[in-house]
Order: sequence, then C-alpha cells, then structure tokens
Amino acid sequence: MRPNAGTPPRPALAAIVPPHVFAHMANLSDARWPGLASRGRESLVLSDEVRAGRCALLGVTPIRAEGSGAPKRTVHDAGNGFTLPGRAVRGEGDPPSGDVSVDEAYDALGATHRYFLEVHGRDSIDGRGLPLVATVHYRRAFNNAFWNGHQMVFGDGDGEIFGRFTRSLDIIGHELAHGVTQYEAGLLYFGQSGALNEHMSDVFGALVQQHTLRQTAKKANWLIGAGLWAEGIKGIALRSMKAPGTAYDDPRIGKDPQPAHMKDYVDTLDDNGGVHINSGIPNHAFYLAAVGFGGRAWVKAGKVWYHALTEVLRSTSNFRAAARATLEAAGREFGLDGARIVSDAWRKVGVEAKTTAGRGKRAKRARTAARRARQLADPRGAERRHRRAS
Amino acid sequence: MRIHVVRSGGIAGLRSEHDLDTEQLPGADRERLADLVRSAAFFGLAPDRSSRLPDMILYRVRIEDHGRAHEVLFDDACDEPSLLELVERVAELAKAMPH
Repeated sequence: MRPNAGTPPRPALAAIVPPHVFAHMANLSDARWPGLASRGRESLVLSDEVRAGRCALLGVTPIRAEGSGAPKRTVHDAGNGFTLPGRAVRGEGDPPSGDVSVDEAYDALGATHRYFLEVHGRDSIDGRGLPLVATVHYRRAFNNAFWNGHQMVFGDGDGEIFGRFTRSLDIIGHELAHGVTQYEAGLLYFGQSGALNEHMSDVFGALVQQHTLRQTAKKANWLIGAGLWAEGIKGIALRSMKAPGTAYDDPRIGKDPQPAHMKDYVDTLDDNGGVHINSGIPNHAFYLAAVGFGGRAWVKAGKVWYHALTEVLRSTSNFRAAARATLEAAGREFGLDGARIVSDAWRKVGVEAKTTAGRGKRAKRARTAARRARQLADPRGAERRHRRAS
Repeated sequence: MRIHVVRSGGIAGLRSEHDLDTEQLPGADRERLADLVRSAAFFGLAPDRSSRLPDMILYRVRIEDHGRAHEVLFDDACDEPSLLELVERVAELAKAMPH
C-alpha cells in the first residue's frame, strides 16, 4: 500500500499474538474448545488496555489499533430520511436485528472485509482498520447506493424499477471498493479515470462474491447487481463483465449501454463522462484475463489488478495506463505467460499497453513504458538487470 | 417557465430525461416549482456543483424563464434541498402529464 500524504506513518503493533487471532477466538462457538471464546474476548480487551496504557505512559495520543484484522461494523437506519448516518442499529458482534436490510448489509460488510484481509492482507478500506459504516433505508423509495467519501449508503428501491440494494453482495463490495480506491489510486471520477474507478469497484465487488461462494472464474456469473431489478423488469443485472451491453433491455429503463471494445467507447457529458458506461471495456478485459489465468479469479487476476490499484495507478490514469500497470504486474508476478494473458485481454478490448505510433515526447514516453513492460514480462530481462545492478 | 432535467449516473448508470412547461400545470404545482427555483437562487448558481463522488445520481437542469436561461449540474450530495426537491417534483409531474 502506498503511503498517503497527510496521514501518520503506519504504526507497528508490538505484540506476539496479533489481535486478529484474539478476534477469531472471541467469535468461536465450537463446543470442543469451551472457554476459548471468552479468553479471546478478555485478551482483546486486555490488548486494547495495554495499547492505551502504553500510550498514556509515553504521553502520546492513543492510536487506532492497526492490523487487528477484525472488522468494526456499524449499520445505521436513516428511517427513510436524508440525515446520515442515522440511528445505529447493529454494531460489531451484535446479534441479527431482524431487519433484513440491516442484516444483509452487516453480513456483506463482513464478507468484503474478509476478502480484502484474506486475499490481499488489507485491513479494511484504508488498510489501517477503518470502521465500516453503512446506512440503510436512506430516503423514501430511493433507487441508488453510493459511497459518500466516509460511508456506504443504501436505498430501499421503489419496487417498480429496483428492489432493496442490500440484496446484492457484489454491490456492497463495489461500494466498499470505492473507499479503497479513494485511499489508494484516488482515480478522478470523470472520463477514463472515472470509468477505471467504476471498473475497480466492479472487479472487487465480483471478486468478493466469488471468494464468498468459492467459485472459479469459469463457474462465476460475472454479473454486477444480479437480482436488484424489481419483478417484471427485463434484465438479469446492472452490468455483465462477461458480456457488457447484455444485462438488461426494458422499455422502462432502456438497454444496457456498456461497450466491450474501445471502438464503441461512448463520449458523453452525462454520468460524469460515461463512467458507468465505458467501464464495460476494462471490465471485459479483466474477465478475459481471469478466464485466461483459470482457477479462482482472485488468486492471479485479482492480485495483478490490486497491485495496479494500490501501487501504480494515479488520479488521472487512463485505460492505457491501467493496461500497462497490469501487464507489468502480471509479468513480475507470473512471468511471460502471465504478461501474455493480460496483454491479450487488453488487446481484445482494443487497448494496447504499448505503442510505437507517433512522434514527440508523449510517444517516446509511451514507447519507453512499453519496452519496460516487455522487459519486465521477460524473466531473463530481470536476471540481466539484477546482474547489472550487482 | 420551461424546466428540462437530464438524470444520469447512480450505481446503475441509468439515464432519463424530463421536460416540463410549468404553464401547463395546475396553479399550486406551478407556484411550488417557482418557489423552489427562487429559494435555490437558481439563476445565480455556479454551472457545475457536482461532487464527483462515486455512484451519485447526477442532474443536469436547464431552466428558461422570461428570456433568461441557465443550466446547472449537481448530484445527490448537493447541500441545497430545494434543488433536490425540484428534480423530484419535475420527475413526478412530467410522468403524470398526458403525452
């Protein structure tokens, strides 16, 4: 994870048993280990006290426990009003509330947190254990879900076009991933960088779902927001990463406008420059890469894309930059075969990671980057560089 | 007064458009819309008030009134409740109008 300007350096937690082990123990209900859960809970409290005491002794402001690995969820109810976050109705470790939206949000936040921690070693949205805050029942018949820079917000849907937005695990993963992007690449929400922002949320939303269901890339449906349309709407989901442009077609909502190739890129001022439209292009590239790698998508393709998001991409990155970043990461992680899979995926959607066209500084920079990508993709190149350096 | 609203974005990225001539509306509805436009000080607003936050529903509103015309872009993160009520009412009234 890249350091964020303006945030304190990541503090080291000097403890032999990491807090997430205690957290896991605290949640145990296995009859074979009676007492383990209560000891876990005691240890968690104790380690918090020790941490606070250590800070008091040193005379410094207490810091948030980092890397505890346990989610800190709170689900609020806006009571169909505009005020956020609303009334807290379920906190971490509380039993189910009986309100289906509250409980779906709580469970999905847990699944998303688990995905990022287990697969990418990332503790929450900021990588530092940020509490996860969600609000349900926002406004009346509200047809949307969004990340407002601090928390996730879910509407109930109007029952005519949409049902409740908490029904879909990948949608909750999508919203939380917007938070991750905010703390990492910070992709500007307009035009191609905005479409990449949307794309990253679709990628990690889909991966959260597949990871929870333990699906392979081949078995997964690659749909975003399946089951969100109200009864009677002709559609299977909001978007399809496997076949962009085919998720819905209904007179009340129109036809899915997503392209799967750069030749169909939509230039528009609406939707912040078509961020939910043109994300179909990188979405399809990710799908092709995931299927190309085979197996479970989060193991290879997910790792490559996560690296690009957290280490390479910047706020104004475009599709070509994303192609280059993922190609480089695939080459580094999975050698020439990996680089070829990712390169082919982007080429099939009309995005070239390398260019030889044009003159001037920009073209020269692009050629240098492409050459570097090819070198990185070639393990022999890495050996040569290593020999030169040593 | 003519009000044209283009709605786009949101997590689903759906687009819809509504056009309303307030002269065709019953007096109470016409007055309420005029109040909302006045209360938002619409003709003095900056043309782009969008937050660029993810998945917000985006509204592009153009109003023509007595020879003046102005267009404003904003979204659900907007801190001016009159604007949000305006687009909600326009959508409701436009749907109810005979085509």
